[in-house]
Amino acid sequence: MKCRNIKKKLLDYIDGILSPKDIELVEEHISKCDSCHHEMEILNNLSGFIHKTDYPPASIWENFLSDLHKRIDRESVISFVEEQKRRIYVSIGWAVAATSAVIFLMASILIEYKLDDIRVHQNSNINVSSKTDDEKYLSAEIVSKNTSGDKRGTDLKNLQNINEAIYIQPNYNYYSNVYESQNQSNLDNESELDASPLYEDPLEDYYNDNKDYYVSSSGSI
Amino acid sequence: MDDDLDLVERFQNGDKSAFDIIVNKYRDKIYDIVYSHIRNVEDSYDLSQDVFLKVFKSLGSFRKKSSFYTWLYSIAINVCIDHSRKKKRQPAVPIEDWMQLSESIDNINSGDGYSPLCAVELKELKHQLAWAIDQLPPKQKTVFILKRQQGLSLEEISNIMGRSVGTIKAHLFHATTKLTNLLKNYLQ
Repeated sequence: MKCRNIKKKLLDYIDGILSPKDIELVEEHISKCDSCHHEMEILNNLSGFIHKTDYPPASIWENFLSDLHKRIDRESVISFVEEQKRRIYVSIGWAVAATSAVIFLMASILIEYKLDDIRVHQNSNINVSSKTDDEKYLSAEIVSKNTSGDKRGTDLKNLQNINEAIYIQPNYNYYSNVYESQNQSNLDNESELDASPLYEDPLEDYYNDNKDYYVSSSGSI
Repeated sequence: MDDDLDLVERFQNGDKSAFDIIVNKYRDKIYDIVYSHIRNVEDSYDLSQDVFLKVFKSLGSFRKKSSFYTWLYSIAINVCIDHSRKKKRQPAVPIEDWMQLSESIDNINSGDGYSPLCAVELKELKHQLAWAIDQLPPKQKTVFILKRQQGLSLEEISNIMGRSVGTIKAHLFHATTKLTNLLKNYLQ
């Protein structure tokens, strides 16, 4: 058997864990090979010198357990303090996040509110002059339905603040919110208006009752 | 080893005195392993306590998938490896300075039966040996210490280190080869 293979088995031979067959092979080889025999002696000496451990003085060694308990107690306090700090930081984090969310929400509402104003501006048809009060109320309601649904009171108040008259778009079916025709006829023909279902406004009484609210002191809408 | 699991169970059920029993039972073995790695009495004392501190913190969640002493030894090995990594950032200690640092090896009992001349040679050999072991890569060093000093079997070492028996054997072979090369002049 070659020296390389024998040297691989030398450790197990020294530890006494080789099979009987391998023990025989190793012993036969090292009896004839000086190099492997020498290697085995080195390994034997090596194993003999590594067992000594030096311990601390007895006075210190006997206190190992009590010292350990002191360290455990110290670590427990440190861990507790660290945990409290972590909880505080987490709470602050949540508070900041919640505050930011509220601010963002309020800003969004405010921006949306201002945008509604702008939409009212955009949807209003600028007009022209002489309208009856009824026509003005009706127009304002149409505009408000185009823009923001049921917020009639608010939108009407916006219109009041804008102080602009609004041109009626005829052929507007109030009840279905649909423009039945793209043509815009002249409003001078009051008979057409009288015949239109637009004037059969279920809320007409409401507006008439609250006319003072919708008309400013200057009489403009 | 069943006693160990009983102690673990007692600790997990709230009996802290079980931990004290574990410490007293394994204190010397853990110190041996740590000292073999770092060869310094004070550091070994502190690191041994580090090992048991980690054991105390983790014992509540020990799942008994491995034997207790395997788990304990693997903690000790990891503490030693972490210490070695921190130490690697420091400059390597030459053999001349090593003899001054390892003053604890100087305690040779005259009752050992050696002549004064042999005692000097032995002292120098021990210094050389400690230095040579310190030159080994961490895993080879660990395997060598667990096998040669602690007398553990290859299977036990493979369980502790989480490696196959073949890998452990290879580590041991390379470690021994390296040490014999370093110490040839002293071991003849």
